[in-house]
Amino acid sequence: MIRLQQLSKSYGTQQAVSAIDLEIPTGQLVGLLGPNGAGKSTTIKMLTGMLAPSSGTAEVEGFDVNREPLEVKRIVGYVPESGALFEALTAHEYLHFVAALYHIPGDEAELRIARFASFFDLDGDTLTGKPLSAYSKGMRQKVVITSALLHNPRVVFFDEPLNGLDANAALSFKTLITSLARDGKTIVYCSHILDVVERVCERVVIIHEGRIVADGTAAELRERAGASSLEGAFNKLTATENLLARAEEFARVLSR
Amino acid sequence: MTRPAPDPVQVRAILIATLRRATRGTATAGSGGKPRGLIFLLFTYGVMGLVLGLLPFVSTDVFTFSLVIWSATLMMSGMTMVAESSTLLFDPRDNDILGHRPIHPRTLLAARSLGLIALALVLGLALNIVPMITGLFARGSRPWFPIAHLATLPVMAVFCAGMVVFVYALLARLVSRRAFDTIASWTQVGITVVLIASYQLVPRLMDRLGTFRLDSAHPVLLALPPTWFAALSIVMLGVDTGARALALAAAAVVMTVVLAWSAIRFLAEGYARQVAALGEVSAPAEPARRSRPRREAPSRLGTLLSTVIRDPVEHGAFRLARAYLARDRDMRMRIYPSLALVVVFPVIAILDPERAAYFGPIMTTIMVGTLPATAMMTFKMSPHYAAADLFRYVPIHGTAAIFHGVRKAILALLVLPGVVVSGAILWFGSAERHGLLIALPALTAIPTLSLLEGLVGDYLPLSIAPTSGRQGAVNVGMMLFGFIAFALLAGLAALAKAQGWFWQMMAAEAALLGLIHPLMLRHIRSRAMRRAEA
Repeated sequence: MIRLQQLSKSYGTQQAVSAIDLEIPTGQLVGLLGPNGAGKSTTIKMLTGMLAPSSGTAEVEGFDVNREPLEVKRIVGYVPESGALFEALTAHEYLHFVAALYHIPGDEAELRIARFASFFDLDGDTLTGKPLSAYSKGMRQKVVITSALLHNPRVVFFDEPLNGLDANAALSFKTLITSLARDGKTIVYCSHILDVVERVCERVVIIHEGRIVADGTAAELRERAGASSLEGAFNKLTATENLLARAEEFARVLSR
Repeated sequence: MTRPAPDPVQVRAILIATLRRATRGTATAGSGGKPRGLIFLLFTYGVMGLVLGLLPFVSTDVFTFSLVIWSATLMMSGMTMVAESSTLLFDPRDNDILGHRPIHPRTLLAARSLGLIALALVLGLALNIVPMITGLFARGSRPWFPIAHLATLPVMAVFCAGMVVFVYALLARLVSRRAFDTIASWTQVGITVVLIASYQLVPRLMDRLGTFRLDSAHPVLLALPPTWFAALSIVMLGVDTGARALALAAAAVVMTVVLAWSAIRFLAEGYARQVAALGEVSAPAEPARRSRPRREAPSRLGTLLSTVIRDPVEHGAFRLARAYLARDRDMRMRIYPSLALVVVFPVIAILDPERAAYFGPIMTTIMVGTLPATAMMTFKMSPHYAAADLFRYVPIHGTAAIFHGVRKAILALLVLPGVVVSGAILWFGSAERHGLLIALPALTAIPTLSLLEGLVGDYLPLSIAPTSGRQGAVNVGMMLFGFIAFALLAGLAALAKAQGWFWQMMAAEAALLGLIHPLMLRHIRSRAMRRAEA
């Protein structure tokens, strides 16, 4: 269970997140959407214990993110949008490093790494033979996802997890997160690829300018906004002008 | 939150990862995974150690020799660690990797500190390897000098790393994220000034009549940390076990423990908070504007720039360099310590009137002269190195315009203010102004010498990933090169002035520069950009 009560974060006079109230039951797969700068990543960083809230409270599986950040960090996994890795290490070294941070014994870590490598089609030579700096973007993303799931977290936050993944890997990943949620893991999925969110997530929360502006199933959101797709509903809830007309006008200006 | 001890399993894991990163470099840095910066740095430290190691052969007693060696070790290792601190202590990229892992701040700071200690130890070892042997020939030395000296080295390494960690962790605790960016850069300048000034004090307190000797009871010496470490060495040697020597040796150990312990115990949380904050965007993006964006009115500086720099690519590169110099924390933390060198020598010169006439101008000339090359090389490094691909896919023939834009920004925004400030200190601070003239040939040569970096390879700013040792290697390498080149020029100028052919020399130099400057410009302009290898 994730519970947010009046959770806020401000930077000086700028309010990044404004008094958010939200409850996500255990085992739910929730899509967290919002335009750029809406406050999604800030919210996730507060829920992973990376960032202290300015006010309000948040609990992850009963642990307070402000008072018990280490306990929260032990039970969450996080795939950051940046896909940052220590590039001088090989994937094998990097994953063993991450395992050590969670006190996973070497043998057990090896077993888990092998399991993920097999799932993501990463062969042994690739894992041990070259530094991560030499990996393609998709391969790096597979390592980032593995490093987030290696310690078998109860709650997982994915921020644009499909970045760089090819169609087959993306399909496998979508199936994986649905299965993880079915097995009782709570999953928060941030993405700008709305049709994936629509297909995968059982609930969608839209944040705009630091506030929750919509919360429900994709069908409910479409109905409420009078749109035929989640994309249309998102546009109506977060944009104040006709983006299509604006884009067409801009394209005309460009081609002059 | 409770205050548990650092987690040894996590400390070990982070330390191993840090050392692997430091000793491998990155393939994207174009180094083929070899830490060339670190290797070069260790080599130059070894060479410096070789020079310092000759001191026992000019009748130096063992205490003075130890003090000189520890002063040099503290200055050189301290300066390198200060230059590397943006990578080793405050890399915002680390936050996305480590920020969400269950790592206590104290564990993180302990692991980072151990990384710095390892660097200090390796640098210290490279510098001390020759003096450790030649110390046997110092007056009053004992056969176990190498062992006593080697045993002092880890204590010195911990002190050196502890000092850097303590200062930055204290800063992280005391100042806000916004202020930290600026204050951290200027703190580096401050630490560099203190390190150099302390080192410069030692030879000034030395009795150089007949033998090289320092009075261990001199009150100024007692306050200098290298004196404590020299005392530790001679106490272990059994040369002096008097109360003063024992007290100084105890000061070395106690201060080292206090620095390291207080940093980990009291400052770790502020440090971790600051590292997390560095990875944050300081403010959310503004919502899209509904009205058409207004065109910014050009500033006076912008208008002046457009007049002076007509090439739009060069103009763009100038503005890029200016923005990074003013705003980018990483860049400022790498470049600003070089400014300290420009200012500290004029100040030392006016405090030492005996040698003010020539020492000040010569040393300042060397430091100002090396500043363009140091800054140009430093400007190639950035955590945003992937963004430099932009230069490869825009339709430009070569890197000449980009190179000149960055070069002119460095000359206008770093070198010129450096010359004005150091010149003003020397002019107003000393009555011995006649020596200032000998700086003129070197200053005249700076614009031409600043072209050297553009003659080899593609000059692309911000295109190389910073790796451990690289910044230190650039600083030390340029300092060595500068010492030789500009000291020769300044020495020649001093000779010309003394023998009355100074202005003839200036005329010859102007003619030579007038000849080679356009040739260098033409060569740089004619070079096409190479295709990226990967």
